[in-house]
Amino acid sequence: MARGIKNHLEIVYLIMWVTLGVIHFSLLYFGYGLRSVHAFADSLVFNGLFTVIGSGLWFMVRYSNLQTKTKAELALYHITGAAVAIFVWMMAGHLILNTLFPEDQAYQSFLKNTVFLRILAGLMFYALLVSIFYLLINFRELKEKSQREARLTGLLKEAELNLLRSQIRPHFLFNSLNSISALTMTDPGKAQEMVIKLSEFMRYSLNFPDNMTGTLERELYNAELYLDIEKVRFGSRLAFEKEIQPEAMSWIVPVMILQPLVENAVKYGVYESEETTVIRLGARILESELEIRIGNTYGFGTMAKKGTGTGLRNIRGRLLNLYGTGSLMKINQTENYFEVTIRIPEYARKD
Amino acid sequence: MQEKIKVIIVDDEDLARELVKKYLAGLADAELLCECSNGFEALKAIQELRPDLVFLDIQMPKIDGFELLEVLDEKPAIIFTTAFDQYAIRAFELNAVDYLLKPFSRERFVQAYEKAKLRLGTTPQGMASQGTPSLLKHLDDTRQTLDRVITRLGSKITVIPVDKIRYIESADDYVMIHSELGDHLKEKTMKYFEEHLPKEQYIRIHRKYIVNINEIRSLELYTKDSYVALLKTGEKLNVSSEGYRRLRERF
Repeated sequence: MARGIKNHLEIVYLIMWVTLGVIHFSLLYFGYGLRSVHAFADSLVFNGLFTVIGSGLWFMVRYSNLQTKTKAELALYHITGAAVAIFVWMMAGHLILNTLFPEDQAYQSFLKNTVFLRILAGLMFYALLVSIFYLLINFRELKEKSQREARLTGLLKEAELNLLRSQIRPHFLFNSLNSISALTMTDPGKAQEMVIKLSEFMRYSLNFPDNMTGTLERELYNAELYLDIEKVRFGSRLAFEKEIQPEAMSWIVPVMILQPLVENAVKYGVYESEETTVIRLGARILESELEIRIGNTYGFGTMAKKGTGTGLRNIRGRLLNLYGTGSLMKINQTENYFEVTIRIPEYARKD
Repeated sequence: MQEKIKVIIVDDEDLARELVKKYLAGLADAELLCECSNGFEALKAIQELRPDLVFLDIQMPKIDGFELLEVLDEKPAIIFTTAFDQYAIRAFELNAVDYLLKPFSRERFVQAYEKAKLRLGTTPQGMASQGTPSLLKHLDDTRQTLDRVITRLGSKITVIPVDKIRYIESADDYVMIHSELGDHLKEKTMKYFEEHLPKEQYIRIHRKYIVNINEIRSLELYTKDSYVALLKTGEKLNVSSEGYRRLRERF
């Protein structure tokens, strides 16, 4: 049979024809009371021939599948196909059996009387095979499509990693370096402290673990490094409060999940207001989920003008990818407080 | 004896101002008038103290450096200081003396300062003009959709978030912005607002009006083939046939 079909499909195809052959034989032998040699030869020749013709149909179907045809064209294609296939089948069958049993009157008349039935059976076989072949081809295409999609998901994952790595906004880095530049003149000790914090923060953000997960404790440590650095820049404009349930600390979370949220809080709170912005971070275990809340106070008008950023959309997308549900992130917004709540299920998946 | 160059520093970060102050202290002919941590203070200080040169940060709370420049009548020489490199083109279009990318060295700072002195020596008013009309027009074109509009009356700045605007009315060389915060004049064209307000919310309904579609209560037939838009506040605005067509497309 065709190259594209795997070996076990060829075997299934042969078994199908052997089964049909046995049924055919039984029908002639028990039903019509034919002699066993006639019934056997009849079954072997007609089923054997259709086995060969059938494999030819495979190419026909594949060819028709490649072309984009209208329904009328397709119908014409198969009517012609069926006519030719059955004609060849009948002619060859009769030729062979006439040659095998030239003198046998009873069998010869049986052969003549069953022409109409045989044509009907041939049509049925044709329809059956063609349907199966179409199904097979569609199934194969579906499988290829899902493989393509799987490859694409892999690429997306790669892209996501790169995105995470590049998420450190350059202006944050340059503004921090500018603060350090000022501190080297006014307070060298503090400048050194800031260089160390910035380095530690950058190191984690640039090479986080390959398995893309870490403890909340580690994530929190990084977020606090970030806030400490921003605190040097903004002084009393930034206040940080946290309330973390001790058991939550060892919870496994996707890496760099806190950072964009904390960054958002600074961006929409501290960058936009001269008054003190309070950033609150809370984490606790609720039933079998870890709930993290990050909120910030904000001044009049700043939120409305910016809308929800790409940062939040990315987080929602990541949670959806990892846990298969889009309801893990919620945003609460009042007149002067903006809060994002995320829920992290117990870590079940290993990537 | 040479006259001193009067300087103001505008930056919302203490340390960033500190650095400029340190660099300035090394220059014999510079006189620091004051430091400002936001655009409002800066507007007041510039109007009252009339500095020759301003070191201006771009990203600041409430109003940014560009918005501050927009509402200044007489502009001093400006040196921008920022960590963002993407604003450089706009800064030079605004005729800024220089654009210092944070963090910058003392040498780079002095170079910018010398450039400012040179500019001040040749044109007594620093920037001299508000930029040629063509330059300003080009500047307008490079801006994206507005999210707020800054207006000034005397030394009072009002920041109007775009969605608080009810409608805009043309008034000779100005436009009158009618908003929840009151009515404010702004020296801009109707075309500018037509192009830069969010298009899904603001529609030019008449030669004289751009309206916030959320503010419209109903459309009423005025004469045989002209309409008026009745606003939620009870005000009535004429609608041209072209404006009527645009409104129809939306509803």
